[in-house]
Amino acid sequence: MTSKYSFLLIAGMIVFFTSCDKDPDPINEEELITTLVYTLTPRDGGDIVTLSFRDLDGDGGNAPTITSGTLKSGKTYDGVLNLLNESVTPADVITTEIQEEAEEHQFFYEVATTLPSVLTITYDDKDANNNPIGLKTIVKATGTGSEKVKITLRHEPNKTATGVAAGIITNAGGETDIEVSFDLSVTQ
Amino acid sequence: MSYFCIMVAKTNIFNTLILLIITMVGNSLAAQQCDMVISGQVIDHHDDTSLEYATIFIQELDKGTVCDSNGYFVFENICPGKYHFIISHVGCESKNEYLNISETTSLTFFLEHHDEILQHVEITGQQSNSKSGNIRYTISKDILFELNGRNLSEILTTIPGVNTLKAGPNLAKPIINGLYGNRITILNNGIPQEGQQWGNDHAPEIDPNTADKISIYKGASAIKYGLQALGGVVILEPNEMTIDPHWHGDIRLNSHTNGQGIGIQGQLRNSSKLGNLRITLGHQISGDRQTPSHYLTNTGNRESSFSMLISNKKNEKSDRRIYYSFYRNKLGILRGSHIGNLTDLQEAFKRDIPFFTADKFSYNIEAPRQEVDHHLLKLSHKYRINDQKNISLEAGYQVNSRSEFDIRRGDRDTKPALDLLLFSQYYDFSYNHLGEHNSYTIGTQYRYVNNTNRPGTGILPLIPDYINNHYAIYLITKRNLFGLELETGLRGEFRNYFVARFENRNVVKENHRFLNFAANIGLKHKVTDEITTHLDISYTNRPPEVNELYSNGLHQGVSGIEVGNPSLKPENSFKIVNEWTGHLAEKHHLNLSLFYNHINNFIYLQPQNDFVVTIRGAFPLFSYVGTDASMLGGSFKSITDINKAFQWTSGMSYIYARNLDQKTGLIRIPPLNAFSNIHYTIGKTSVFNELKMGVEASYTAMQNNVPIEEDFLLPPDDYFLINVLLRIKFKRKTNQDLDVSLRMENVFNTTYRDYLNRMRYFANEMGRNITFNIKTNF
Repeated sequence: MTSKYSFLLIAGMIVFFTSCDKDPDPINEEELITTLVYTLTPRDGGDIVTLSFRDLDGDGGNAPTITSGTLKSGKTYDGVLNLLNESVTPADVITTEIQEEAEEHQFFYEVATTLPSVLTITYDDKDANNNPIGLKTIVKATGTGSEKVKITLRHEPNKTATGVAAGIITNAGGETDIEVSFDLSVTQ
Repeated sequence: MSYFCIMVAKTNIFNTLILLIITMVGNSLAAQQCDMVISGQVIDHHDDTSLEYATIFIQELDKGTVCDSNGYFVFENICPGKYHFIISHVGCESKNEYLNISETTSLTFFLEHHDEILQHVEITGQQSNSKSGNIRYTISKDILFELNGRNLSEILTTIPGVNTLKAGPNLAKPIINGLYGNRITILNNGIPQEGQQWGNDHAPEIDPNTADKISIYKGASAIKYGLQALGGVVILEPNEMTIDPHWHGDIRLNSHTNGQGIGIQGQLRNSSKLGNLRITLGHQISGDRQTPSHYLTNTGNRESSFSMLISNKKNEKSDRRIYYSFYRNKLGILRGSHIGNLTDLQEAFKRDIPFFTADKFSYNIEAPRQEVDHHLLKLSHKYRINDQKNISLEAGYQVNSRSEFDIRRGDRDTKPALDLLLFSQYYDFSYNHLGEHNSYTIGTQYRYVNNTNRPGTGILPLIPDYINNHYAIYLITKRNLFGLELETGLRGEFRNYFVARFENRNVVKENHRFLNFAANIGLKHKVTDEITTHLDISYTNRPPEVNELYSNGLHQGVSGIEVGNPSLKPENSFKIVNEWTGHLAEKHHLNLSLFYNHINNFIYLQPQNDFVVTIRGAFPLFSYVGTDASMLGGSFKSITDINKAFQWTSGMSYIYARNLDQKTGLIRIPPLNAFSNIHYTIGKTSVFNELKMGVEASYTAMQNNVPIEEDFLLPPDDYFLINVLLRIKFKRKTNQDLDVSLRMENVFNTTYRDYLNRMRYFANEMGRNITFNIKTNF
């Protein structure tokens, strides 16, 4: 008899789930960066140039929108980077997060194509260890032509490796958090 | 004079390989005096031949004897009483039997000797002694001891035709005849393991130390275990429990030099009024492994397991069991294999030594890492109606928790990037009829899987939340037909998926229904007295799993963006497995396994031509697609007893796979592999019971048949490895062995990379490793 009871016991443990529905909570993608804006303000007045990369739906999905810009030859610009998560309202400012962990982050600006280059980009900020961060830069436009500027943010780079402080990415290591390219032309 | 037989250990087909039959010759007059004679024979269960010079020891009497050349033994002047018999033989796991001796008795002990040879064991769970049915390859507890400290998949590779898909030293999945993941079923004490099998970097959440026997079944006709078993079945199970009111068990310690790891495992067995109890416990830790030239930073792990099995006392009618197992693993993934985007990946390929390689050894486990917990509860009841009929009910409940941590900004390393909780239920109800010439099993199954992404990751999930319901019926028949043993199986399965996924950050609900079938036919034919062949032909119709339909997002494990395909059709697998087993000469055993597998609409992750541009840069895009594929392969293993002491084992396996649509090879197919081992074993001396020395050589060829455009890098070169082994079973006063083994792997510290290890993109394989194992039974 006991064996019959144990049969019933097991059978009784069968839980029938009538609910066949899942309702996941919305996800707060706090880490997401949807937008990078590189604002170039000429030191002696003139038009502000804004380069931006926007990918509101994050990885995959729709392709990002990229706006390029034109600089005036002979001018010096103060460059400021701004990182945002625009998938939420109001938008999250990610730049502050980078600033707080300045020692673990560095931006690299690579100017490719024509020689002699019509652009030079140098760092204008420093972290607590006196190494560059790259949120602020100085951009000098000389001559005329067009360039491709690649901005890379590395997480946990080796900031003391050869050339890294001068903005050369080769020995930096670390992981890429941002890698975007803009067309930037310089005209008279 | 009356003769009667008692079966002490019921020959419970689906797991007992070591069985004991006692034939009692009744003589009630002599019962009370100390003049009883215990005689008998020790027999090799595999081929029913006698085991010469096996030893029998009666613990209570401190009395031992050695069998003669025909396996016979005699004890004289024995008083009535209850005794522990320890039966041992070179190359066998010694066996402990507790018997009540009240009369002059004749005993027959069966030991499992040639455990590496094919066995004819059913996995359908029928109550039958017939040796027909499917073929499986078993690794016995004796061999498992030498492999102590390794994970399940690594242990399985000792079977030809089984490989591992790895992601560094801690993550390995079994590949059986070229198939893995969603196409392999792992049976944890009879219950299909339910975890996140889909991920190439997800290892089975199970500790091999909870089992006494580990086997592989290569055919696709494991109809009972469903459509996911089309590639094969891995079976972990305990030995049959014997009735013995004393505490018995074993304790094992291991340590390995590469990774400076240490582990302890133990087993306890006891019988009481409540039933038979078996408990296993294990804990294993390791730090960073190393290649011949540098540390593999962040490749440590911590693994713990516990299991408890309770079965009712011997009952003619009912066999009831409760089994619970717990597994926890926290493991590191090589720090330098975590990459940001395609540029980083290409940068990492160029390095001889991966980024972030520390110059010091460490036990620390940082991100990227995985933390996995798995609970399994099994209840089973088999009820015998009469000699021919029985019914069986099995229920399994599992909870699988998986948290994966990535390198993240702003102290988010401690927050999982993927955090999955999976709950599942499994019920199987079957009726078994065993006739003289005809047997059949009819069964029904229900499976429920509920997968949830735990909130708080801050990342859109790679696989969605879902609830799956599976309903199945199956019929297995067995009959003798013109001297052939014929087995047929038929299964119908209905699945219903309820999926809640995110699209543009909004929840979208999907519903999929699949009705699928599987069928098989198996034939066994004894070609000669020594050679047996099995033929297994099967058709399996496997519907896509939820990850194949709806994966979406960045998967660090493949360094790319993975996109599911909701319009995938079920894949149709047609498979023929032909196995040959036997003795070609008296001291020569051979297994040969050949297979052909044609899969229509074979679902795999195919790299796409375009890259996905994200703010982090470009990523390769992978999509699930169906293609037509075929695989032709085989493996063999031969064992030659050169003389009493020397044994030569060698084997080989190879698979030729084609993507028939693309007219290329298939990705991640094991390359040709061959091995040759020489073992020298000597038996009893005054110091030890057994000594074994061995040299093992293995060769893995370069995989030439690859789809070059579907991989980041070309396959690595071939490699040749040598391992050496020394094992001594010392004598202890109690006559239980003190088993000690020393094993050195990669003796020459060879630098190599393995095609089936994702770590090959970044680093070399582990260098020399010395493992020390010690074990004693009590």
